Amino acid sequence: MYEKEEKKLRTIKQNYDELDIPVERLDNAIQLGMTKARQTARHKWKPWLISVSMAAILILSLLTAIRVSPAVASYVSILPGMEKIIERISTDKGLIDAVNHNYIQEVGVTDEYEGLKVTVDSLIVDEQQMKVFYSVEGTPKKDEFQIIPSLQTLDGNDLEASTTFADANLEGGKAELEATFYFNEPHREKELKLLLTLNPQKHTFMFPLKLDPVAYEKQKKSYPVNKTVEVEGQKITFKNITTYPLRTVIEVEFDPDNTKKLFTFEDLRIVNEQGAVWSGIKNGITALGENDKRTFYLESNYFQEPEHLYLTFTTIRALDKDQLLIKIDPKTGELLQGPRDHVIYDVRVNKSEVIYKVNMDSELRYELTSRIQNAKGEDIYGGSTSTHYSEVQEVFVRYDRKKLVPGPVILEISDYPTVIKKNVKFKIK
Amino acid sequence: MKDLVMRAVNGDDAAFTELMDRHKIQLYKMAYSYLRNEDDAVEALQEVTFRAYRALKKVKNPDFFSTWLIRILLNYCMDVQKTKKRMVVDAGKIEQAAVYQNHESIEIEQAMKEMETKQRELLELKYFHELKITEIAELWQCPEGTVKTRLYKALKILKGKLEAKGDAPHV
Repeated sequence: MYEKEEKKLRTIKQNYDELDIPVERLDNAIQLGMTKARQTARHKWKPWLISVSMAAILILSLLTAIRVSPAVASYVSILPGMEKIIERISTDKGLIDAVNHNYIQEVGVTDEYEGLKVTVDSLIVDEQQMKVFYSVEGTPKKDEFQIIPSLQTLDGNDLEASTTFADANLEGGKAELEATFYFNEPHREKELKLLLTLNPQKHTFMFPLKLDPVAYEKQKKSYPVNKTVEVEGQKITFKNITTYPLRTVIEVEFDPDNTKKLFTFEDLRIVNEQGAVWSGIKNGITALGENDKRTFYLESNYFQEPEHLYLTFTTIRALDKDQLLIKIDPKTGELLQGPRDHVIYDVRVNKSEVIYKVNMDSELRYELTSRIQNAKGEDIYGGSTSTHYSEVQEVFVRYDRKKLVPGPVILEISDYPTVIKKNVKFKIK
Repeated sequence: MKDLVMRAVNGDDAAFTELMDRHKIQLYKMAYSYLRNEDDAVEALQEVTFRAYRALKKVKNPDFFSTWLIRILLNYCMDVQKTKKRMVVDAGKIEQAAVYQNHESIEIEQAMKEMETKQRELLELKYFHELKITEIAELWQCPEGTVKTRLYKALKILKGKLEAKGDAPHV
């Protein structure tokens, strides 16, 4: 009946058959699509996001689940109404201590938009950081949404801070969330605005906050240390230790003449004369800085009155400075230079990424590489993602193809599971 | 392919890449027929890869993986066309002329342009991209009979339009 039309339609099909297929571009598009998706998937998988405004490398330790320890359970009976908050901070002994000393402010203010109820439950703040506990309730019109916390001064300027916050997941109709603002400078404002911006709706909930900066200024205990220790020939100087209500800050300098690059302490901690231990921050910023001047953060013992305090550690992750670069031939994928201990293996290079697998026993997952450079030493880094499946961790480091020059691509190791050891313990108070 | 789909759904990136590789040419041609230029069609493939990868867990029946991909592509192309319509007045005609040298194709494409979106899409899927009636039924989530009825209706309308354009009916 319509044979003629069908025939005509089929002749057009021939045009498509004769279409030039840009195969290389298509392959590249698939790779890019996957990389982008992996990146997004990763953010979904990890409940913590970070926006970084500090011009330094932040090291975050991320927890996916919060467990309540028996020690926490006993506190709960002391403080009725605080159970939920304690649950959320149960990985940090210092924070629990702060809550138990009433160093937390109840807020309980609610605002509503398009069926979404947002309540700021309470907050806890010192000169260095502010933790805000808030909850979201209701059924939003859009399935996928995000609430982004930020702080502003009264005149509407953003307060500079690094922020960590959890993605709102409204399964069950309610989500209990928290955001932490790590101030770039000790804050001195008496009033601040807490903004919770709902995306993609672009609606902003605004909560005014009143603060007492004069009080914060006095709330710290400093211990000048200036002590140098040597571990397997590497010199480490502890400069100052300052304890704030919410965390302890330890300033450290590594000797520039060290033959190894020191990445981080595996077990830096403070103990008192009775053996009570304050260890590293498990959920939040754990360290700052990337070269020889570094800052490490421990749980706070501000509310304790110990007679003596000691700093102690046994293990530092470190690697010989001449081993820090991994050089790969982008054409063949051949490993030209780099550690040969099979921690990093199956290195491949495609048109836009260097891909490698990681063999690590440790449950701790940290990124092994940061920068990527061309043979001239210019930065060509374009972001990195990693996936885990069947116990294999695979890392994808993107690079800017346009900046590639003849010669190897160079990955720089920023953390590595090889360690140096010594039992170190010295008195700070 | 079923096995590949299962592996991809369970997080095997190599399997997913293989699947995309097998579908890339069909998806590209389809995207091209909607978007009319290489850059946009390549971009469409990237976006489909992105959306498919993120939604992999939602694949319910591995047998219909291909149709599932096509649906993602068509949704994307529709979105792009909507925005493009607002931006471009009629650049399509010029590009079209460059692609199709033969007069007959221009005429038929012109006639199709005047048809309802859904009818045009049906003709394109059936004749340009050679999808089977079962596949279109799966794509549209409707019975095969409905697809057939719609197909005849679309052909009838196309015939009418071509005749109106001076393609004299055979007596």
